Amino acid sequence: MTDQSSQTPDKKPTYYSGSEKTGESYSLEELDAVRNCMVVFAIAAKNYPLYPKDHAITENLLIRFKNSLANFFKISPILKLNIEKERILFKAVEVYHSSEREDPLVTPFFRDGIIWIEFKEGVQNTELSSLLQSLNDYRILKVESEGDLVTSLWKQELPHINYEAIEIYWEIEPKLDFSQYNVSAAPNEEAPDPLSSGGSGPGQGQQDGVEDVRDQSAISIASAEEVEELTQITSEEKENVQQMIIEDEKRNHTEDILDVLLILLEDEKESEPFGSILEILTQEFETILNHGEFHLAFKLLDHLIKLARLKPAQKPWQVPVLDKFFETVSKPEFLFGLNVHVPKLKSEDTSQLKILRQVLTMMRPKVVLTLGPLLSNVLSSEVRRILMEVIVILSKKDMNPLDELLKFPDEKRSQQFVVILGHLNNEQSHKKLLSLARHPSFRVRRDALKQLLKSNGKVQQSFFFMIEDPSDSIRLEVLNLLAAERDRGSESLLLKYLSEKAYTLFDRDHIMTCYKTLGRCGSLRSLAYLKEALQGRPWTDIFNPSQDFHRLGAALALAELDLPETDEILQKAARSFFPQIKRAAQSVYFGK
Amino acid sequence: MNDMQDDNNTTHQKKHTLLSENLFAAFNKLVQTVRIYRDNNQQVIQSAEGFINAVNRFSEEESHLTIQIISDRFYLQQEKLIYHREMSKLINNALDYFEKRDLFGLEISATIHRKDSRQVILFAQLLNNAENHKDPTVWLEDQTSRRDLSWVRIIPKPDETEKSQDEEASGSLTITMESITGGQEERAVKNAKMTYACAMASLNEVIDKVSNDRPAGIRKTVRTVQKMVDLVIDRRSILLKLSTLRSHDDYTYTHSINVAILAMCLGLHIGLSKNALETLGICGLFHDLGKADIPLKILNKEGKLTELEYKEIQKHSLKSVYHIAKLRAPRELRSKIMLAPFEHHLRYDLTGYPHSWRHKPVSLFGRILTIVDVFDAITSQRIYRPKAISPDQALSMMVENSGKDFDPILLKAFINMLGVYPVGTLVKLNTGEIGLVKENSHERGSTHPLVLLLTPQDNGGYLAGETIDLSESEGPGDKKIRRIVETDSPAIFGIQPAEFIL
Repeated sequence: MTDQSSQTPDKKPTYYSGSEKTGESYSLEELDAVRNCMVVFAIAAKNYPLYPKDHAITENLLIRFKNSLANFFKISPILKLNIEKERILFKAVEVYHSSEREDPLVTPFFRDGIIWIEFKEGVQNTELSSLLQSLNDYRILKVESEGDLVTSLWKQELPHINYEAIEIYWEIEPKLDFSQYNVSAAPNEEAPDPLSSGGSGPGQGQQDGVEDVRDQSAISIASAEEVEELTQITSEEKENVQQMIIEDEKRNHTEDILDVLLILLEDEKESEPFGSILEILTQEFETILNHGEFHLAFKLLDHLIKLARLKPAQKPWQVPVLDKFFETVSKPEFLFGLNVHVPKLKSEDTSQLKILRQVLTMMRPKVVLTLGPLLSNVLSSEVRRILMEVIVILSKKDMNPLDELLKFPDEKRSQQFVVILGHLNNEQSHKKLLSLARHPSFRVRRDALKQLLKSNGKVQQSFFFMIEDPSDSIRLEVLNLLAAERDRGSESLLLKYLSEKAYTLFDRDHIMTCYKTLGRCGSLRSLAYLKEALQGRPWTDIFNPSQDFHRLGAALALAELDLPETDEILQKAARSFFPQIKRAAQSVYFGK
Repeated sequence: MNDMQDDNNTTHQKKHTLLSENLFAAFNKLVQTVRIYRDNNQQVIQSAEGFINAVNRFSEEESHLTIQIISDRFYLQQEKLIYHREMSKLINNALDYFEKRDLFGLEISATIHRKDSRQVILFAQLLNNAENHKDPTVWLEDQTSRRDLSWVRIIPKPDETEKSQDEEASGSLTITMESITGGQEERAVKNAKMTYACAMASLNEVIDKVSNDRPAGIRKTVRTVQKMVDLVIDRRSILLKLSTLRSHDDYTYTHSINVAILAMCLGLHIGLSKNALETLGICGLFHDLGKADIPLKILNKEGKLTELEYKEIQKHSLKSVYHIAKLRAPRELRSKIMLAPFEHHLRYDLTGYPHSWRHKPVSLFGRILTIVDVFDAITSQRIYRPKAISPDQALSMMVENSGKDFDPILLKAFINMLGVYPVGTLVKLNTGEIGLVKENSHERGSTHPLVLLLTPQDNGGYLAGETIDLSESEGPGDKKIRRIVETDSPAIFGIQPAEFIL
């Protein structure tokens, strides 16, 4: 080969012989353009997998690749590259050498038997993108792969990229030798007279499954009177065929595969293949949800539930296997499709929502792990309602998934869970509500209180702590509820709270309100304590200044109690020798 | 800028498609109106002008417009004709029109725009009349020359050129078209045979793995099927001939491959896309995978099966589905190749098996497989079917069940594709000679195939003789007209048709 480095460019291109063997020639300009193409091609192949298709870098890679080819096409309309192990040649000149063992460019080409590839003028970005995608998809070949670079390129529309692949999968190239095949069942028997009569009897050929296509007449179709009619397709028939093709292209293969696998499953009598089919159905279920085909999900789960109920005694092994299936498909990793499709549903999609509800309730409670977080992404109140309903139904079976979610509750989610817990209405849900009643968020606490009150509308001891809630409005609500009517339970709670000084909130106004509330809900039972709080141990006030406002609170409570006895106590207190007692009682009177 | 270039290319492609479609529409209109009306009819004149305009628009920057048929496809200016689906009927009509006249192509000069429309009308009349002549292209060439239609050149079919060139250049070292295309044909046959062998080997591998419950990938199968699709598109006749291969010992393999070939050929015949043919081919190859689980003593039982044995046989469709489901294949592909094997014994009227709650009509691929599966099965000799049925009789029997077992239109399309004497049929002629149908299509005349004569040998074998065209009105030498009097399955006589006709 000529030493190219010693050449100086002329006005006319100088042509070099690429190989004596091939006799191909090229110009320096051509070679430079090819080398440039190869540099860009290699960069593109290496970087293509790193970014999404619509990323600016990917688009730039394609533009550069196409530009480099366009530069070459100014010289020649076709760029043909020959692939060899670890290198690429242009007219027998090496223009690329692999830089690593698993080169993203040469390795897949060479490994899959592509011996040359050519780019023609007019090549489109989409074609280059498909090529790079295929190179990336089959960069590393799995042992039992579903395809390779060649099969992938074959499927693409690449009018401006040609290639040739050789057979590389067979150590010894398979050959077809007709002499190896015996056409007849009894080759050594004497051949019958040509065209002698005979034929297969009825029922013969069942082994092929074609037993009913019998030797009815054994006449040639050519002898049929209407032979033309039998062979010539009318334009109407042609149209029908075209329609068949169009309909087939629209076919929902997911539904077909589901039907077929379910029939297969129902027919299966052994546990191992039964399990294998269910494994495939697990993947199908995931795909179905990814497509948002809830009606198919329903079909699948409904069939499986019926199957589990059907003759369980005959196939006792199928129940645990089916159980495992339901457990598996209820895990969040299989339910990605719900996150995509459920938020898109609208309140008016009634039939879809109905099916979705049915599907979800057929699943295991683990599905709550997916539905919980989903609640925040759903805009439609109807969809949210359905999801919450499902969570309630499933959590009644098993609270653990909901528990799991409640470990790290944010404000929005907690608010939703509060509603769910309220509906659950059991001991466990009550506990969870109590814990949410201490949530840092005011809204969550407020909603929790609402749910806690749902059972009988009264403040219970379990959430009496909310009387000290950081929020004024919640405290006030609790106190208002306590004050709503004379109630022994409320009285006991408040009496205990005040008499045992159980409060942790040292706020004068709060305690005053508590006394007032006690007065409103209380009865004679509180009288002794209030009398004592008003009149007791007056000489110790010097050491306990807070006693002063307790006297006032007690006076207020007594006034609210509004019993004949209270008036007497207050009047007596108003005339007390001790000024602090007198002051407390009189302030109530003045207040009146 | 690159986007702009892309846009330009797309625009060019769209424009090319539009012009091509206009051209064929104009051509079709021209030959139809000329056939119906007189020369001076306004519609005829308008259609001639329309044709001139269509050619002009197409060849604005070129000196000639070349229309050629290569592998059953039109090429305009060396570019494969791409057209919209709704144009397929019109394009197919044009293909039929060209083929009936043995026309390989036309070269129309851009000077057509200077010609009188009467010249175009005259040419259309000649084209229409050519059909009635024995050698239409030779007659057309002669007529165009005599009538000074210099703006158009007839491109005959390559084999015609080859023939004449070969006759002229016999004994010389000149490289004729025949030596080129003959070499191509030889290479294509070799390639087809290798592809068939690869299909056997890959199917063998898959069956071996699935019957041993090992994971099976389908890379080799997909690659082989893709090659088969390419061959079906480019060399359908070679593959059809290969599909006559019968093997008693490797029946499941040859049957599956034959089913795949026949299905793809029928698929192409009705206009399926390349990718759909690939899927259909894989369905064909795998439709009987489930037979790997059926005991051989049942599969190869001589005589009628017991009820239990037949039930066992019936399981194979579902078992095929099971094995396909377990293949290491992309989910999308797997979902497309399960249904047809499930349905291939279901029958068009759903009275077959497997029996299930699914009552949806059989899919297109399922209907195709049903037809080709039965055809290949009943034309194969088996221990339980000692007298295989000849292909033409098989078609006749299948017609009896049209609308019940088989989709009537697809069955018709199948017969239309194979001809009434399908390739590989053993025929007995009125002259006492026997032979194998070598080529047959409805274009040739449905009852007049090309037949390769066979001469029986003392050792029980046969020797290939000359190929005769039954559409010729006279036989050689004795002037006797040859016609088919009987047919049979070549398998019965130990004849492997593919060995002779390829």
